[in-house]
Amino acid sequence: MVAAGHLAFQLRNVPDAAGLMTQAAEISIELGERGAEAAAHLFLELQQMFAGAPGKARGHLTTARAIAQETGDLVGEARSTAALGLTYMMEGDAAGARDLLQAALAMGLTTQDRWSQGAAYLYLGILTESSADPQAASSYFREAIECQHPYGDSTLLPVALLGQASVLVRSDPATALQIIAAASAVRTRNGGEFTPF
Amino acid sequence: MLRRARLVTLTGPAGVGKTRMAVELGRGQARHRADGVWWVDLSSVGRAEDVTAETARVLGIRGAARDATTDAVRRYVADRDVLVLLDNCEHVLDACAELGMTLLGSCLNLRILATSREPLGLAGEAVWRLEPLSPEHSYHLFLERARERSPELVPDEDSEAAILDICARVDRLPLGIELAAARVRLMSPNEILTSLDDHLGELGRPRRLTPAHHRSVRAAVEWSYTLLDPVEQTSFRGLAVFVGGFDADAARAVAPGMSLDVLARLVDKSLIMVVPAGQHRTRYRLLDTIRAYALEQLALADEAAAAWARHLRYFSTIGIPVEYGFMSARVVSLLEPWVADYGNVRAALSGRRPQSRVWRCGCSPRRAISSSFLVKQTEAGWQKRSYNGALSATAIERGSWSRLAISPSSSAMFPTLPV
Repeated sequence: MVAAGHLAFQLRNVPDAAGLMTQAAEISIELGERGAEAAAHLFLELQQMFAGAPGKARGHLTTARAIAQETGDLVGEARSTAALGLTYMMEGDAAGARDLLQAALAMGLTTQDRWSQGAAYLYLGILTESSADPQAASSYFREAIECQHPYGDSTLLPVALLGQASVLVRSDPATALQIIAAASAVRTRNGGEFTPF
Repeated sequence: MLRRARLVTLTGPAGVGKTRMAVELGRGQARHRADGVWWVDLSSVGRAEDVTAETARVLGIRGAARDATTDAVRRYVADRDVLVLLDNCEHVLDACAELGMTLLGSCLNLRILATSREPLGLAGEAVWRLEPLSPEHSYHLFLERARERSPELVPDEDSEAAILDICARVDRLPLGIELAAARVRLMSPNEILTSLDDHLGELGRPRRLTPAHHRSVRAAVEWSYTLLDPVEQTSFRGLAVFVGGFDADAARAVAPGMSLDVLARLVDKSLIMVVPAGQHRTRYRLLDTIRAYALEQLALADEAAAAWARHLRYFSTIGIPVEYGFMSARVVSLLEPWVADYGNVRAALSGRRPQSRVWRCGCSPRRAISSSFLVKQTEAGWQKRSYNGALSATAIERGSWSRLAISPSSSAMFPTLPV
């Protein structure tokens, strides 16, 4: 059912996707399947993010992270922690976000989970860029791109590429344009007109 | 009509050939439409709110977005020169009308061709009501279809009269003619007429509250069904559970006794239509009228619960490893082969099917759904965990993961229709 929710989401049928994921979470509880329950909550969080409701997203992420902690799933904890950092960032709490992102990065490095590393680097890059430190931001974005590249994810990789382009646009506009084209190609290939910020 | 009106609706009774006509018109328009002609089959769409989602799916609009699907479709077609065929609108008429009004109001180059038993009711809509064929046209349609099976057929005077009578028996409706003509390899026109007459003796009697055309089409489908051998009959009615079509793998997994040979025979007998779906795949579907009959037979044979259970089992093998993330290239390619089966996936997961509460496998549908979707994969390889042995075995046998390399189906716009 989680997969069916993904399929609905890919087809832009957001109401169906939300319904399927909510059912998936309920059924997982019924069956005591904590992993599936966490996966459903992570997905519901994503939908709330798309809807521009970080507060609601945080509720799902808190559940997902609690399940990951309870079941000793460090990868799940790293991913949900990184996303939690994003919710704080979206609400303007830079310090709270940074703490969570650093924690997520540490867990990602421990577990060698490139996904959570990529997410943490990306959000740290955005935070750093907004604090006017382009060099440090560029370094984070580069790490994020390297980590996310194998996944080709249309929700994170294009944003990391655009972040890097925005840092480079004054010093090296030609490279910045190439990077923007790459971001566009990822979206074209995998769908999505997602602009999270 | 499409030159003069931006919305044309083909109306008429079941079996009169609305879909066929729409597809032929679409073919004719393909070279005039810079951005293509897209066939949106709404027969599998059960809810009004899914009309737009299905349209987006066919147009190949993918990916998560903040905006509503209608906006995404509107933006997609806004600057494009496209013709959209909305086929089988009758059961979601209001939703089709709403979508049509929204799109036509803001997309100047868009044309919509709809098929429905009744008009959409929009201002500016041109309605073309299809009527049963003339005796001459029905004769020629029979001959054309018969010669596809038996090229050497040259009717003598007797046969000509028999063909005209056959056409009259099925009210000169193309679907009935097609089903009758599909039998020429085994029967002469006179034998077909006799067989049809024997059958219609019972079935052709007027029934109250049944429109005459509907009765004759149903009778033709029933006649065709009775001529199937028992294995073909069982396989045929087992296909009724598919929503929006199926491929050969799915047919074999869900319909008892189904094989490629049986599938080919049912196609040859015009009970199944072939829908090319991209370079590497072929899909099939039952016309609405035929599926409705197959569903009736499935229920009469007391096979519905088992058929839905097999359907659920098959479509519940879809799974995504957590490691793949959300909208990654791997997730997209993993799910792409299932896009055409979204109607089936939804039907399998919905609790709205008849007799869905009790399953012969001995577990509730909720539990069956849950356990079958706990098929997971790690980076090292697929690892399955299931509460139900049958589900687990199916996941192994089906080898569904081999479908990962199959390309998208958005290039498939035109079905091959029996009528």
